[in-house]
Amino acid sequence: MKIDKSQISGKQFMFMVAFFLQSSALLTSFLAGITKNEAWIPVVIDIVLCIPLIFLYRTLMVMFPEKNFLQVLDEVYGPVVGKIIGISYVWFFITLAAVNLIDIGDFAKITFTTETPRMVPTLICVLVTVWAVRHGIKVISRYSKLFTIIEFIIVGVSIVLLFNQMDFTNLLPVFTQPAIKYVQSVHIIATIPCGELVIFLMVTPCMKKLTPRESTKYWFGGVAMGMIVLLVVLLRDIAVLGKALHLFTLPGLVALRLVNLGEALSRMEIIFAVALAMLLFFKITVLCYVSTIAVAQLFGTTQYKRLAVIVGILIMAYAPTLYPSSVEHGISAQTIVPFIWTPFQILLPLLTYILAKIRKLPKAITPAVKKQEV
Amino acid sequence: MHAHLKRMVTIFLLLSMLIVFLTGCWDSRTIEDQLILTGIALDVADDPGKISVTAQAANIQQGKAGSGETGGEGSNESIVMKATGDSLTACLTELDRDSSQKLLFHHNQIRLFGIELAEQGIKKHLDLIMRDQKARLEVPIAIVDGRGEEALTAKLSEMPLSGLFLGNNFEAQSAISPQYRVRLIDFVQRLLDGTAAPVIPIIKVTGEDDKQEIKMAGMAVFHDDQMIGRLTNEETVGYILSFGNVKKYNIVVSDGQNQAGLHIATLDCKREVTLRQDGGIQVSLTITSVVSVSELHGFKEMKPPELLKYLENLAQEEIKNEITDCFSVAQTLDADIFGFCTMVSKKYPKQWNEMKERWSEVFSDIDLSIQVKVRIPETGQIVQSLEMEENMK
Amino acid sequence: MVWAVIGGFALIALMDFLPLIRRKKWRAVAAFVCTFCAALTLEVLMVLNIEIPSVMSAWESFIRWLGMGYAA
Repeated sequence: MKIDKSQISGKQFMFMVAFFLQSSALLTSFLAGITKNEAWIPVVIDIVLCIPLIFLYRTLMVMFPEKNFLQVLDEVYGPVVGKIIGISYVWFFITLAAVNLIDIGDFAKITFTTETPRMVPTLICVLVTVWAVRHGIKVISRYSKLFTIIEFIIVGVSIVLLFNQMDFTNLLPVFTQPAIKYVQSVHIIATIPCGELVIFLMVTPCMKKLTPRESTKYWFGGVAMGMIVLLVVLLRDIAVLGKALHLFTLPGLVALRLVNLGEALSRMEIIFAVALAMLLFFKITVLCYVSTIAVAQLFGTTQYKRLAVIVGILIMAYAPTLYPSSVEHGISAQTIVPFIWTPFQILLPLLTYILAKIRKLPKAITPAVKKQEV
Repeated sequence: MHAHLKRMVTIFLLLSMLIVFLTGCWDSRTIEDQLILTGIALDVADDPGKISVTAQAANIQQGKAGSGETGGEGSNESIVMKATGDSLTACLTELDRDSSQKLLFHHNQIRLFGIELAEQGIKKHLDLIMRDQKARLEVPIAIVDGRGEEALTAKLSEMPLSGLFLGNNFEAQSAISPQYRVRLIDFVQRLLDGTAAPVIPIIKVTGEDDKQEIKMAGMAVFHDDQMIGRLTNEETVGYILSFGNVKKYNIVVSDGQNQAGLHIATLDCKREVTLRQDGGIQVSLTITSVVSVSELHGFKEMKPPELLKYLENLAQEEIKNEITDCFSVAQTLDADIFGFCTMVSKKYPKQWNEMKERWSEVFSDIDLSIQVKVRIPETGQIVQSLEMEENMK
Repeated sequence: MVWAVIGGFALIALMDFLPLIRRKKWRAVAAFVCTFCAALTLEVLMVLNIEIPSVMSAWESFIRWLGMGYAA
C-alpha cells in the first residue's frame, strides 16, 4: 500500500538527508556542555562510527524498496508484534517533531519575540508545515536542495566574517577530559543528529527506483554534507568562543554577534536566525510528514492529507508537555534521551535486519499477495 | 466555481492571519518609547553591600525637558540616570520604574566599573549582562580611575555623549592592538581560564566643568575578578607588543643625545613555550616588525645606510626593553597577564595538571627570551634630516 | 480561551473529518478520531492550566531505575 504516490529522485533524497543533519549544527550547546572546547573530537569519532549505522538504514531501504518502515516491521515481526512496535515508532516520530517544535518556539521566545506567547510562532510554523505535508514529499524535497546550498553559503560567509576572531589554539588541548565524557558525547551525536535519520526509512516508497550502489551514494553523500557542516560550525564556534563556549545556550548566535568587520559588517546574528528558521522548519516538516504517514500506515489508510492538520495540532499540543523548561530539555538531551532513542534508532533497525535475513525476507510479491489500497 | 470560491476564501483567511501574526504587535517597539543606552557604569554605593548604577542614554527628543528621570543630569544630547540597589537587576528595575521610556540595551557602547568596585570583584555583576539576550558581549569594558559615573557625566568638548566617545575611542585603539579593546567576552574567557590574569583598560576623567577630558590611564590587572594592580601607559606598551598584531603605533628610541620617532607599520609576535628540565618553563617571543622613520632628532654624524641599521638596533632594543619591563611588573604582581599558562595547558596538558597548583612559583621563575627583528624599508618623504644635511655640507 | 480551542478543533473537523465520512473512509475516520481526541484533550487540559504529566520524566525515571543514564 503506497500512502503518498509522489516520487522523489535520489538526489533530492540526498539533499533532504544533508539538510536534516545540518539543522543539528545550530543547536550545539548540548554537545559543548559535556566536552566543552573538545566537542569537535566526538563529532570526528562519530563520522566514522556512524558509517555502519547509515549502512544499516541504506540496507533496509534496499531490501524493502516499496515499503515504509512500519510496513517492514509488519512483514518482519508479524502483524501483531509489528503493529505494537509500529505504535511505539509513531510515538517516537511525534515526540521528535514535538521536541524540535519546542526548539523553534524557544528560540523565537528567547531572542526576538520575547513578549509574544510561545504558542504564536509554533502555531504559525505548524500551519505552514501541515500545508507542506498536504502537498506531499515532492514539495518538501524541492525546498531541501536549494536551502542546503544556501546553508553552505551561510556557513562559508560566517567563517569569513569571523576569521579575524578565530583562535585555533582554542581547539587544544585534546583528550584531557574523563573517558566517559567522550563516550557520552559520541553516544549523543550517534542518536541525536545521526540516528534521527531512521525517519527517512518512512520515505522509502516515494523514492524512484535506485540501484544499491546509488542508494549508498545518496545516503552517504547526504550524511557527509550534513556532518561536514556540523563539524565546521562546531570548529568555528570553539575557535571564536574558546572556553566560554559551554556557557551559552546558542553558541552560534553569540559567535555571529561578535562579527566586527567595519561598521557595516557587524551584528550578523540575523544570519543565524534565518538559517535556524530555515533548518528547523524543514526538520519539523519532514518529521510531521513522517508522523502523518506513520499514523496513516498504522490505521491502514492512504488519506494522509486529511490527517496532516490534526497530527500537526497533536504535535503542537504535545510539545509543551514534554519538558517544563529549556534547562531540563537540555539536561535530558545530554543524559537520558540517547538511551531512549537508542532502541528506536539502532537496536530495532538492527534486529529487524537480522530477523529479515534469518527469515530470508523480503519474499517475492505476487499480485494475489499485494494488499488492496484503502 | 466551487473550487474557485474555496481558493478565494482560503486566500482571504491566509491574508487575515498574516496581517494578525506578522505585524508583531506584542513585540513592537517604537523609537519614541525607547531610551537608547550609550553607556552604563557600576560603582559601590554609599550603603555597604549595594551598588550604584549610572546609565547614560541618548536624548532623541532634544526639545523636551529631561524626561523627569531619577537624578537626571547630562547635556541636552544625553540623559543620565542613577539608581542604587542590591543588584544590577534591582537598579535597572528602579530606572525602568521611574522612567516613561524603556531602556534599550542593544546600542550600549561601553560598560564601566568604578575602581573601588573593581577591587571588590566584578564577577557577580556580569551575570545579568551575560544572561540577557539584549545585552551584547562584544561591548568593551573599562575601569574608571575614580567613580564610573564620572565618565558618564563628563562634559566632553569632542562629543556630547561620553559613552559614544569611549566606544569610538576603544574601537580606534583596537586598530592599533586588539588588546586595547577588551570586550566582555574576552574578559570572561580569561576568567574561565582560571590562571591567566585578566586585564582591562583604565580611563581617567581630567579637567573641570565644560573642558573635561577622558584619558587612557593604563591597564587594570586582575586576579580572578578582583583588581590587584595596574600597568601604566608605558608598561602597557610592553603588554600589547608581547601579543603581536600591532599596527600603526609610534615608539620613540634614543641613544642619549639622539632621538628618533619610529612608526610601527606591523608587528607580529610568535610565542613559543617549552618545558625546562627542572620543571620550569621557557618562553620565547620572536618578534618581527616593519617600521618606518617618522622623526629624527640628531644623528648628525651618520650617513643614511648606517643610520637605518643603527635605528633598527635601537628599535629592537626598545621593543625588548618594553616587554621585559612589563614582564617584571607582571611578576611583581604575580599575575600572568600574558597568558603563558594557557599556552602551557594547551601544549603540555599532562604536565599542566601538576604545574597549575604551583603556577605562582613557575611564573616567577620563567625564562623569558625575546628575539626582535626590525626592518626599516623606508624613511618617509625625506631620507636625511635637516641636521644631517647641515652636517654633510 | 477554551471556546477558542473548541472552535478551532471544530473548524479542523469541518475541514478534514466531514469529507472522510462522506467518502466512507472508515479507517481514516478511525485514525482521525484517535488523533483528534488526543490533541483536543491535551489542548483543553493545557488551556485549563491542568498539569499534564511529562512522558519524558516517566522515561527518565525508567532509565534511571534500569541503572542507565549519564550523570547530569
